[in-house]
Amino acid sequence: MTNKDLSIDEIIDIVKKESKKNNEFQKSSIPKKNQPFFSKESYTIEELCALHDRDFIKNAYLAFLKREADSEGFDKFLNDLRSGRKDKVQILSEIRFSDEGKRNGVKVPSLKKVYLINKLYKIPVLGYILKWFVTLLKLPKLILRMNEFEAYTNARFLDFEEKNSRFLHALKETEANIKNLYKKSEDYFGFKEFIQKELEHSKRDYENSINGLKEEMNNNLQKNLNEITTRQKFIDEKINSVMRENYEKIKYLEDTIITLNEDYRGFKHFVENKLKKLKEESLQDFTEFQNFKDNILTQQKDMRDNFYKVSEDYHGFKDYVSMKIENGIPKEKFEHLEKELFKKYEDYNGYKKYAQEKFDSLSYEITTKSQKEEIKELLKIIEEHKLYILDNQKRVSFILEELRKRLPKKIEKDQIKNVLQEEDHILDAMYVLFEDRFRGLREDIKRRLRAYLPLLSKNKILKEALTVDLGCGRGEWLELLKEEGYDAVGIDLNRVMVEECKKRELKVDFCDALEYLKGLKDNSLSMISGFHIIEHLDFEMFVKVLDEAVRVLKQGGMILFETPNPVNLEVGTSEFYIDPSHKNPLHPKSTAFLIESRGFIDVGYYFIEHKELKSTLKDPKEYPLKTFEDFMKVPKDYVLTGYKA
Amino acid sequence: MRILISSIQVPFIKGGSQLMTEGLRDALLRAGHQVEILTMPFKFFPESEVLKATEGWLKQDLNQFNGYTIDRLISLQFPAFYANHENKTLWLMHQHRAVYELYNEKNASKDLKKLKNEIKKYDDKILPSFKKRYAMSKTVAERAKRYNGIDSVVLYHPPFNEERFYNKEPFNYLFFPSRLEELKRQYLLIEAMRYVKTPVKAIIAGEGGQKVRYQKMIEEYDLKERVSLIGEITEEEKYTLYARSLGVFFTPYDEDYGYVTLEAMLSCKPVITCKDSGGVLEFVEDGTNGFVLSNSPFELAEKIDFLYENRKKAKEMGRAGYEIYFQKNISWDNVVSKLAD
Repeated sequence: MTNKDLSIDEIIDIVKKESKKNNEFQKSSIPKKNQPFFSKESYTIEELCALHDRDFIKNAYLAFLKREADSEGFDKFLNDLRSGRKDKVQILSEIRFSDEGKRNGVKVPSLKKVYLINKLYKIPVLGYILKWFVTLLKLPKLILRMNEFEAYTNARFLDFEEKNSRFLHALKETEANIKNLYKKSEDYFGFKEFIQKELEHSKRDYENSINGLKEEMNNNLQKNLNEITTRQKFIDEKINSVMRENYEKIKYLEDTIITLNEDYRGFKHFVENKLKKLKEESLQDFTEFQNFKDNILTQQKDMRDNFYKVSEDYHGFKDYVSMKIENGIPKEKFEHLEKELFKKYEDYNGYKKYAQEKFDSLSYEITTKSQKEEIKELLKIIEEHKLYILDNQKRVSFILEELRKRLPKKIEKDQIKNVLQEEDHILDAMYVLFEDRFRGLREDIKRRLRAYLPLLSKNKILKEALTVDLGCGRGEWLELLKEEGYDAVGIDLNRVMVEECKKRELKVDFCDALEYLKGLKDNSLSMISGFHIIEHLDFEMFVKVLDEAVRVLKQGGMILFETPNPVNLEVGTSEFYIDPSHKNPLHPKSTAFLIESRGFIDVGYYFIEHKELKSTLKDPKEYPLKTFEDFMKVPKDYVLTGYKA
Repeated sequence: MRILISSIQVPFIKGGSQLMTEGLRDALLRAGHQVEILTMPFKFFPESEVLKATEGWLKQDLNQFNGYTIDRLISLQFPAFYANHENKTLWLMHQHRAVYELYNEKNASKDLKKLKNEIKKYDDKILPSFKKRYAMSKTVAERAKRYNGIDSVVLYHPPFNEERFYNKEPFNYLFFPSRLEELKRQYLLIEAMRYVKTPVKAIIAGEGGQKVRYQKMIEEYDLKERVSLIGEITEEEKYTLYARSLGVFFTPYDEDYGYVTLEAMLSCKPVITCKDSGGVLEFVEDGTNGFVLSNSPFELAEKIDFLYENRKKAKEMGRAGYEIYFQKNISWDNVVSKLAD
């Protein structure tokens, strides 16, 4: 059976069939409930035979076999009984004396006899005769039994009749009940009708009130709609008027924009023109400036001439004044002259300021790159001029000094020489610029010079005495020595350089190297250094300097000279000659020999490699000098050291 | 022993209480006692009638009738347990539920409130006067303990025609036999059937006040093909419907005892029930011979599907229920031995 597909109807159908079958079996096998069976140890035949039909067999089973009848046995005995093949006693004895019955051993007096007789009946012929015989003997008893059965049957029938009449009565009652129910249902229908009517009634009421509400709502809606339409109209008009107004405003704005646009274009054009003009003007200004520059130069020249003239007057006056002072004459006139000079100087300053302002305004207007570059160049030139002027100033004052010396006395040879020597210093300022351009920036040089510091560590007496830097220039080395804690003095013949060193609060003397050394005591220095100085000296001079050095250095004191390395091809062939003040290229070997020969010991030299901003001391042995390239690779400077024994 | 069973009679209404009373009588008879059931009419409504009946029983002295001594009185229910006898035994079937566990202070009428006080007073006085007190179920015993502070021994009895229940190869449906009443909560099964995933069916047998509502639910949920209210069934059909079911769905609210549970167990069927189903829980162990669940239709549906999909497991659970039934020694012999002792 495929359970899974069963519908509920199918289930009910099967269940009904199955339960019906069950019920039939139950009805046929279960003793009547109102005749409870009581199990006993012994029975009489009469007692067992008092029951009939199914009950009889059912009871016999329970009595003898202590169990319900199995359906097979039950059916067989019921058939035997109903067909008359066997009587009750025979059935009782068969059940009692079956194997199962024997085991239970329920006692029934005289049943055994019957059982045995029944067995005798089964013997052919004799059994038949015997049966008849016994039947004859039993006839009265049989008749009695028949009567008894008849009475029982009658009783049952009467009983049945009574039950039937009771059933009929019940039926009548049920009919009455049904009638009653029917009546009630009629009542119910009446009631239902009433309710329906009521319902309809209330439905109508409801519909009426709904309709009323609907109408009211519709009215309200219409009213609202009208109002909305009116408002809508008003709003529309308002919007239209505003739009119109705005449209005009927009139109006006648009026109304004167009006008402005045109104005702007015009203005742009004007500006462009103005710019163009400005550019032209600036160019013009530049030319003007050039002229001005020339003018300054001329003025400078004039000033210088003037100076001579003025100084003559001035000195004359001054002498006169000092003489007068000596003689008790007031020095007013002298002061007047001094004031006049000062005024001239101020005039110059005013010029300078004017030039600067002019330049500032010019540089503000000049926008092109090339012009800027040019301005830079100009600035440099101005600076140069500044230096020139400063130099000239000094020189003028010096000349004045000489002139003063001269005025009361005859001019001496030395004085003339001094004046002439001044000529040499004309190039001083130029040389500073030269240095700036070709040697490099101060900080870079200082950084490079740090490479020599390790060389100094060999010198044990360095802190004990003064060190002197010949040709100290802008004073980078001096500054480094000062920072390292050494007492250092620089000397230079360039006044501008000396001034610059002084500005940096470095010890510096404006002096000739040889003269300076000559003025020193024996054994008074710990070191004499010179960077790019010896190549400026005549060979003769150089020897003199070395000799003086030996004298003034303390024992253990050192000399340190840096100079261009002519071993390098570039230096030897060209670079050395960039500086017109250079005398002779000094080969390291010959220089070392020269120094040694003048009495220095431990003389040695290192090549100095400048790489970017760093300098390194290199052992010359690292540089084989075989190929053309080798000569190119050799560092461009070298440093010489030697010690006083 | 001459034994009287005091009971009430509501003419033409036959329920579980009558089955229990008659079952007791028959069992005592089989044991060789002389037994009669003594009834008085009873009306549940109005309250004045209830009170009248109460007073009627209180007046009864059942020790002897015309020189015929009654050896023992066995009382089962309200208000029959108010009758007087020197040797009385209580086998509590139910008290007046309307004034105890079904009582709701909010909805109670004035009369009911008054009735409640009266009955409580009588119960507190009369029930302790029983020397031997048994209760039909743990649920009933607990209620008496809770409301009246009375201890009683639980004494189970078998359902009517215990021997007729049988087990056969299950079909594809769950069976829920009960009167269609609010407290029986057939609606839990209908709700759950909305959420089952398997093609399992549900057969609800019985008549009652909730039939229209349940029928409507089934139609609304479009469950006609799946759930059927089959109405009144014969005893024979009941046995077969039990025997052929996948399992029994029985989710009453706070059931006193619940023959359905025992009948399911006798039919070797697992039982799906709820945590608040009262007496059912005394027999169903969750996961052993059934499922004890919340009222959630989803949870219920899940277990319904489980029984459908796991037939072998369902059979095992049913078998376990059958074993539990016999372990609990539920028999009339036991009942007789206690009550007629």
